[in-house]
Amino acid sequence: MARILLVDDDTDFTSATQTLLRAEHHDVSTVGSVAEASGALRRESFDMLFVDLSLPDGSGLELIKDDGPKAVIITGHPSIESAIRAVRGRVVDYLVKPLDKNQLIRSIESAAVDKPTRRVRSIDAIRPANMIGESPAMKSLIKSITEYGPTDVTVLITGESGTGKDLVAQALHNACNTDAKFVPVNCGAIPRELVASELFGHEKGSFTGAGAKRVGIFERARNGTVFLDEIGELPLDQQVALLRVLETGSIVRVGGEKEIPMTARIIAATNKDLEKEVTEGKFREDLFFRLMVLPIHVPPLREREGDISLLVNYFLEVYAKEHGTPAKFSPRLLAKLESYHWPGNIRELKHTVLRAAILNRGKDTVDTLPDNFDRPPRWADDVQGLRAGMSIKDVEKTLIEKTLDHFDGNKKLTAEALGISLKTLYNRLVEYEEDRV
Amino acid sequence: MPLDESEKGRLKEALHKMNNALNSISMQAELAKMYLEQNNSEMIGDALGIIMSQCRQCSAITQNTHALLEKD
Repeated sequence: MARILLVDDDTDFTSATQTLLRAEHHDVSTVGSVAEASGALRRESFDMLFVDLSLPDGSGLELIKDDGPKAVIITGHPSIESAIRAVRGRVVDYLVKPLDKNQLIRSIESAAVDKPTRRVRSIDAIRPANMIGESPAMKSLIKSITEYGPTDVTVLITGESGTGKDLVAQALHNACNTDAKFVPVNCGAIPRELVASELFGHEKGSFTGAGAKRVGIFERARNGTVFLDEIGELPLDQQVALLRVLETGSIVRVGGEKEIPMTARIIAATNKDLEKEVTEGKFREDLFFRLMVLPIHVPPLREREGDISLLVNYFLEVYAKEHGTPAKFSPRLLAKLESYHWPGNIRELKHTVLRAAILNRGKDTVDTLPDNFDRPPRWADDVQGLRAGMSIKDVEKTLIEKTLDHFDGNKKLTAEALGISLKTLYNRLVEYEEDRV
Repeated sequence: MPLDESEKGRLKEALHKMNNALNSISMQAELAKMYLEQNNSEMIGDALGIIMSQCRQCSAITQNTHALLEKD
């Protein structure tokens, strides 16, 4: 969908064109003069400007600016092409009256696939504030981001849970130097039956409950980036649909027939071993290779020598501002944190620093660590309740219940610590409840 | 005999008005086609009404242009 401003003083033409383009799901506003158009451009943002050259109070050329929306000039004089070519600004097409509907639609589509210019930016400009680290592993990661960022090629980010794959995706998007949107979606958190609608959108009435047309995330991102987190959780049938999008470069809304050009970049991430998933038939091989065009591996925290103290100080400063907790860490405790292997990576470190900061509230320095900080439930030696011969399902249930107890019933922290999505956790808890009944 | 600048200007103006009218006609015709596909007879009637009035305007412009050309 494009937001279009149509500028022409012929109301019979503008009203018909507005109705026709709205039927094609574009958002069209109409005005009849240079003055009205200038006001509309100041008040609202538009993707495209369809402008008649001859307007009652001046020339439509006055409305075309370098930093304005892309413009399509409508003219009654076929010989004006050379004059239009000389106009500075973002003229993407010109149409000679009388127009036809297909010409208009082709202009809109060609403007939509006119990708934004991607320029290389400095690492300071692309790196999210909380992407901290100076270790060789981190420098290598940054190098990959600066190399892969200013392209529109698909990237697959792999790495253990809690390593910050979402920050890498954001940095890759920032590196494009575009104002376009970064649209993240967690494939594991969308109910199975709504995945297609969420990704590709749907037409009104396409299924029970589809009371209105919905634009999917690929259309919402336009020329930006779609970040498909937990891609390994995508159901097999939707893997086929995603593969089709990657192969054809177009999407079709659920219940629709029209192919819509897909201009967003795709970045996917997973903490799973996708090659293994392919071997086990859980992930399509063709999709795997389509996503693996540029692979980036995010190193676990235990391989990032020297970064732990930088991260601890960063988190401590943030919590000091948010919660009024101490802004310093005792060197003795810092050494202890540095020697731990952090299987839960940055997420685990962050929670440990938060717990330590709150535990030491009122002091100048954090000098006490939470009990058993280095033995979180997922890796605990405590296997009480487990016995040989138990089913995997019962082991999983015990582990989930123990982890929930550890985090005082906090489901978000529990899901993070177990490396599963919040939705998966809820599904398991519903299953246990149903088993009880 | 070549047209003078004033006559050229008036012809260009006439063509411009004609193109505007034709522009409305083409879009209203597209609209009528869309309503036809949707079986919306009232809206088809409105679109055809506009098309006919624009056709009359084209006819008037054509007659004025002929008059201009036949002046001499």
